[in-house]
Amino acid sequence: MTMTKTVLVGLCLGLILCGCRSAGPFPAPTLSATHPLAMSEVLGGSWALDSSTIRMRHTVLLELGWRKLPMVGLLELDRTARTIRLVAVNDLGIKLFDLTVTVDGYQTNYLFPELATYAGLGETVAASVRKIFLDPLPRDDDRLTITADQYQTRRSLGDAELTFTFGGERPDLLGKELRGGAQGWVVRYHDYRDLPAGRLPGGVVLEDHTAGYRLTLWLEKANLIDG
Amino acid sequence: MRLFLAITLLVLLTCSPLVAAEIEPLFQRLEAAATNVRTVTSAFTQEKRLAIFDEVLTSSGRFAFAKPDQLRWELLEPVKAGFVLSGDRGRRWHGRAGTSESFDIRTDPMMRIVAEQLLAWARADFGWLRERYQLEVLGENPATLKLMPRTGGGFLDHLRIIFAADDTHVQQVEMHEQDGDATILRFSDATINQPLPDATFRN
Repeated sequence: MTMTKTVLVGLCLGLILCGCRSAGPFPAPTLSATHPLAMSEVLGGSWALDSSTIRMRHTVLLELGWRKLPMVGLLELDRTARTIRLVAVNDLGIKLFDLTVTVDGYQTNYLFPELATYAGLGETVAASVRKIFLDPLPRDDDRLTITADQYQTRRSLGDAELTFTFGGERPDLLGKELRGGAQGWVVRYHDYRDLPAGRLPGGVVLEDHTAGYRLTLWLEKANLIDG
Repeated sequence: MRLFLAITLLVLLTCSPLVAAEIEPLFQRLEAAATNVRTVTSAFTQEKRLAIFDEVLTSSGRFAFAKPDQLRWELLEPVKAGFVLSGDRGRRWHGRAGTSESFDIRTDPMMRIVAEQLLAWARADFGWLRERYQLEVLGENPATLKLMPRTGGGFLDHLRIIFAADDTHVQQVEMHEQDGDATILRFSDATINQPLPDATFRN
């Protein structure tokens, strides 16, 4: 009986822990033993800090409360100018929006008239793709912590703390998280693939706990535009 | 001067699209062909051309229509997604997103726009179309139409529609937007008036 209880408690704990590290629809990352790397070696191979321009096509699911909005997103990421041009269409070919996103703002080039009733949609999407692809980025002066299977870089943002997590053989950027203060969000990067456009995450999940939405991206295609 | 005007007028008349008197017989021909159509199924490809990226998004799937107001629009590649409609109500799904939800075109403006367009073309409803578009005939065999919205301010610049040689169904729809984007739908392997199970319009 004691043995059964122990197994049940263990199973429950396992399920809870697995739930906390949920990868959504993507396989959990394969972690490996870490090495005593310097900060520049941890950040060196990251797609987020590359300087080329890439164009990506994603299948996108935006979950706003009970509403689920699937779409196709075409995104051009200029990592030198640090801008994003994003066009989203639905499955029927109707263009939903066209945004230009920068580190500190965004511009709506087009918004399907019927979507104008969803207040803040453009801002929500712009803030999401900015967090995922553009800003914040890890920096050389972040604090580096190395655990058995992960590298974490941290810095304070006011009363909040920003954490970047790297793992795997390369290592790859596995997540960004802001905790504390008035904001709380986490981005998880999954299913890394070696493509002609570079090593890129095949799946991304952003959860914004403060704003109450989740954005899931499935990478369908990526091209290098220059370089 | 009068001779010049007369020649100019003659040239314009010769080169211009069909005048009103010639348009009506073509519409009557298309409406007559549509009258005998009870069901249509076909394959389709959909190309979305985005001017800003010089990029084409291609997808393909199956289409089904049954009079008076049942539709199935099913994308099979690159993702499985689509919708079915019976009357005002329907259900749409998205395989990648794992979603399946009902909708009502009376309260869902985007689905209303899509359903109205597909039904208007499947039924060759020229009354509905003429209320909303200025129609121009670009060719008679196959019947090829250009439609310009009567009300400005929308995203659409014009539509170009090509009917099948036997007039029974639409073979190609081009939606040209004001910013240079376009959506091209090509229908192929059409089957007319084959019985369709009720399940075709349920999901």
